Amino acid sequence: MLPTPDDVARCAPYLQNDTFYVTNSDALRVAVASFSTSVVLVIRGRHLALDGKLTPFEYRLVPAVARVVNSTDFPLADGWLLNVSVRLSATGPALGQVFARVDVVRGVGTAALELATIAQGPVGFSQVLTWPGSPIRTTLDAPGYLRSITGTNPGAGVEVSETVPAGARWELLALAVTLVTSAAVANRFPSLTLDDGASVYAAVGVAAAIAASTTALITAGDIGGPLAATPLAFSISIPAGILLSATHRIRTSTTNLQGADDYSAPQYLVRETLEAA
Amino acid sequence: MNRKFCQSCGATYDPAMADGSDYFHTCPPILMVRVQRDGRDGLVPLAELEATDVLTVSRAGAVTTVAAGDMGADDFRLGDTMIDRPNARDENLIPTIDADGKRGVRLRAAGAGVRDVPPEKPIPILARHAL
Repeated sequence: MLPTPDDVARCAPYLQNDTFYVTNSDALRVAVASFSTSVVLVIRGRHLALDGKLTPFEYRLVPAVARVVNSTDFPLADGWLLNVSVRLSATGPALGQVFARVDVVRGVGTAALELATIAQGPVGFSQVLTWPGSPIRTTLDAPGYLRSITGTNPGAGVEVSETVPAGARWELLALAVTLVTSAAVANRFPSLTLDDGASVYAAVGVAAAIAASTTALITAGDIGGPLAATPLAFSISIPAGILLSATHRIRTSTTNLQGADDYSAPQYLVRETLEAA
Repeated sequence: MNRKFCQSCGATYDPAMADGSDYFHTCPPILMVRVQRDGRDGLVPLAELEATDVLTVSRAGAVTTVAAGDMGADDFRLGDTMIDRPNARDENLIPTIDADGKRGVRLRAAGAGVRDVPPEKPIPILARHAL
């Protein structure tokens, strides 16, 4: 229902340039992409009804799935939307780990029409996404957050393989993994490879062989070049600034890998950015 | 949360990280070794390599063949390749929309499933530092 001139006159003292007129056919849609499901978003705002009644509101939203855009619609009534804020209910997540978008939609469910995006950006406990006020930002505008990940411990005779998860973009900063070689006579030469899920686009290797019956610590980082190996420690230089999209892989590729050789679970540090399309 | 054992690839992993984020396991590819076996040339999984399989290796800069069991320390095995693992598990989630228009998610590939791995018993502390 559209406001009458009397409605507008009644509500004029509260209306500003950025207010948004909504009807009871509209809803506030809050979409969130989060690194984890253990966060709670608090959505607050004020609504001015046609009778001049100013009503604050609060909703809470818990993402159902990590790194996938989860959205929920909150119904609106005839009147003006004066402001909206979105924040986390508690400290913990780093800025950039939770991302929200606030839309005004008409209709329900997947058939609803998105009429306007009024806010979009990273959300924290003390970093609040607000409308009006906050600029529209993408997930890639956030600086990214550091994650230390314990990867998969592969079976014997299997290379390490870590895949960038859906909805994320990684920059590999460091990696450490142990290779225990069997008694089978052969010099092993591990390499660290980056691929797009099919084709390798970067490969760097150790500078010296790992002999049989050896427990070797292999570390990778932006060190400018492989360091002289010690009997038990081998280094690999990671090319700086390479960004890996979802489904890209970080793998080892070991010349002369034997069936009883055993890699440990890799421990690696990445800078992750949500890439919720 | 218990560690998981992947029944597709035999790997173990933690499904949740210390920072509360989820870990999405994906099975690694299989390393295939180029061999000659019983007069036939082809690929076998590394786990199925036999000592009598004939490998093509680089030895002192020259390409030659040698039985797998006679491979020297300085030989480089040639012809290795990686193939996608059959029935691989991929725990990444992809969005779905059902017939009623309801949004959901599903695993990209369930593979052969997982089972829980009991936590490792901690190594007992037999003595402590004297204060």
